[in-house]
Amino acid sequence: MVKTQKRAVKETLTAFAWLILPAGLMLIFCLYPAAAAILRSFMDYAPSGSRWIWFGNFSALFNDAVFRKSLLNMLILVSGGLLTGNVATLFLAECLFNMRNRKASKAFRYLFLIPSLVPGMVTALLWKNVILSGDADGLMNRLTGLFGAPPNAWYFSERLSKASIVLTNFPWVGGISFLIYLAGLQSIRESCLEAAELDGVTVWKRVWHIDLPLLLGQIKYFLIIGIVGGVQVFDMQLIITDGGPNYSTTVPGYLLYLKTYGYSAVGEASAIGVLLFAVTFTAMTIANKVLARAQKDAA
Amino acid sequence: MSKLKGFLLIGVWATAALSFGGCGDGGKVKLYFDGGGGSGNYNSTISMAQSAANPYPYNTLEQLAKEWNRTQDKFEVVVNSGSLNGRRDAITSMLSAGTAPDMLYQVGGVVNDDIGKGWYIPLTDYLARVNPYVGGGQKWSELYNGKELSPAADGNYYYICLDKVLVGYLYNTEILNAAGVTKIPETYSEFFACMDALKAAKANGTIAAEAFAHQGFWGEIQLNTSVYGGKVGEWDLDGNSAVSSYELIKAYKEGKWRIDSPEFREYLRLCAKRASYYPDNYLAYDTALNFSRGKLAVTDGLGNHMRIAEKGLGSKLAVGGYPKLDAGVSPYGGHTVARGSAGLSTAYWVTNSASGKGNDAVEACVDFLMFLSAPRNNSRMVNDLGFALPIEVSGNTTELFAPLAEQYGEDSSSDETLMWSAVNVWGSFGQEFSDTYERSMGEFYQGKRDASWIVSTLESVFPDTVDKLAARYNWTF
Amino acid sequence: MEGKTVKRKRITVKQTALVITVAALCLTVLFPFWLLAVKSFKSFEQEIASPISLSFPLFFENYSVAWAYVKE
Repeated sequence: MVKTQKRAVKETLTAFAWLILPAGLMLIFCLYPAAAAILRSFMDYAPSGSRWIWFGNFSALFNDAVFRKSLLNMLILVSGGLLTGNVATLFLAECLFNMRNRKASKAFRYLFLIPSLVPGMVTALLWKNVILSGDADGLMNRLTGLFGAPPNAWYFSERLSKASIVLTNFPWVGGISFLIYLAGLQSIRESCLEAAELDGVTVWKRVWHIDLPLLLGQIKYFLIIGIVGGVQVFDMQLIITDGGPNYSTTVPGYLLYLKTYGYSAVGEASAIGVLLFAVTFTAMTIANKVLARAQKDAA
Repeated sequence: MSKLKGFLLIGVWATAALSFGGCGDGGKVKLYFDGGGGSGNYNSTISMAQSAANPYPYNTLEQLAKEWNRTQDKFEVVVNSGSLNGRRDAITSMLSAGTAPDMLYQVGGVVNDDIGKGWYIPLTDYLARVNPYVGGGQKWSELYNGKELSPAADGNYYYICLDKVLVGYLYNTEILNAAGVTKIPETYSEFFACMDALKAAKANGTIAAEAFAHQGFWGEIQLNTSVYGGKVGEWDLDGNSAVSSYELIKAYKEGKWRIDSPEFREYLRLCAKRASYYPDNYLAYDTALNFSRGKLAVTDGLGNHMRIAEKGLGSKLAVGGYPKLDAGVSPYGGHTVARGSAGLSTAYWVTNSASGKGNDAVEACVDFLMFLSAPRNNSRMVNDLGFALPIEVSGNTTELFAPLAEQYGEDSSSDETLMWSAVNVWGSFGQEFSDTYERSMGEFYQGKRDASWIVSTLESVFPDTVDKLAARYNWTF
Repeated sequence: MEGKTVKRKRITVKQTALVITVAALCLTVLFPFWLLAVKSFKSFEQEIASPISLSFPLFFENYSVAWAYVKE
């Protein structure tokens, strides 16, 4: 009796001993930076000496017209990205799912994966310099020119800059996400689809009433991943637009980067980080709740 | 238990292997040199065989390092194969971790952002020492023209420059001749006349090319100095014929100037006039490519832009310094701003990594930089690459740059000449303010906003910008 | 009997349209990849002259220089 107890204690201790390393690593590399950012968001931070200014950074941000504009820009760009990305990949997955020629369907699956092998930087530069180039020789400008439109500046036009960013990577299907939707479609029970076919249900009705409700799990995943990624991303701003023209593409993430590395305003940058965390968390929770309810209704 | 011992043994062995692996090579302490450069890159290219894919083979800096290494028994300089190229996100992280290269390249303009962090070794005392690689017991600072050296906000010198950056207009003479212009403009009157001729020739179909597009804000800086030239005497306190950030802010605090002034509005008028020759959609216009293709008559740029344009245009390319702002164009004109070069560039900093290796290492870094700045070595280092002028401008051997070197040599020998950026009322107050300026100018040049909008945009953030700077550097006035 | 062939024909038409749509999507997606490949065989002068189509002679040196950097 005593012996088994002793052994149990020993085993627990060993387990804890093994846990020290990962727990310590978590503390140092995951928890500490986040905690430091939260603390610094309440400070006028400088490596040589910081002081507490409590909500000073936050009020400075909300008094800044550029920051307020950037929040709106982020909302538009994230919504645009979520919409285009998910609708397009779902469309492609449905197309491939409904394709009777299995060989063709398989071949296309390979081909659509190729673009994900090209570094994102390269694609962005190709879009900037060739496809959506503001030059009269730019591909899109030549295309719209056929209809008599004057050349546009695309990324560098205040009117079109956000649309251009959303348009980038058209038709938004390269990568692996369509495979996840396709797998979701393939896991729908054969009997369910056969019944629908026998009842003479049209493709559109089937997509709307059977496929989509059964894909809600995948949609939820992409929505949440899309929100988390979309709020943080500023690659196009960094590579192409520099947040312009007239701040029409500035997003909080890009301001965070500028304030940290360009302007040494670590306190304000941390405040942006904390706000972004709050925004992401709220949006995620809402998306989760709404979709969970939809899933329940579908079931 | 024996397993644990085994793991421990492997750990100890690996640590030992790693720590000994670091310093095998003859016991010399390695000093890492970042390479980089303001308008070219002094790191060695991958091969010395010239070809279309490797157009500018270069390894002179590495050769010079080897020559210096032979004279040393304790240290050796290693030129990194690639440079951080002044990328601030990487550099600031490395500096705060103490892992930056011992000798680092980045632009001098960031110095005031980094004061007080202990990242760089002040070179002030070293500049007063004799440079052993120059004959005649000359002090290191004497290699430089007094007007060109500018101290940081705390009065110290933290970096040393190893070349002079070329700056000016690039002209496609074929297009200019077709439009009836045969002389490279020397004054802004002539420049605007040239622009009008190009515009007229395009309108009547003689030429198809666009007249002008800029590649950066260098021309604006020259115009700014030209317009404010008359103020230098009043605002400059240390007598170096240039107005530093501190001097500008002091003059501002004393009520001697403000953004909303006749001078600034005149400056904006000139900028707008220059921009009136830009192509449509100029923000999206690929200036360098179109100029190389012969679809643009005039642009501006640095030495590297000139060399790249030369590849596309060959002998059709002509270069000239920014023209003088003459009294015929502007009531504030008439001051001479040095043409051809914007002065010193390619700043090297001795970092906390060197001081971490001991005072000897810092001395060795300084010695190596003295070696590189000595005219005979410096001219080799700079001319072999051919993207900039050597410190001693007369030592230039790049044919394309000869007119610029001549203009700069002529101008900089006169006491009345102002350096290219002697006064800069938008670029002297930190990155955030100049970013705000550059972004608003984008709107202004497109004709979407007027001068009053720029003035009020800048005025609305200026007092706060100035107070933040003053607080950061403990400036009192 | 006749009704069946009509239906089958309609299915074939639908399937063909589907394949064409997907193929068009695929070509659009692969276009940047084409640009990337084509540009890798161009010298600076060829790039200036024709940025989008293949230009001859193919310029292989980009690869030898890139490989030299990879080796280092």
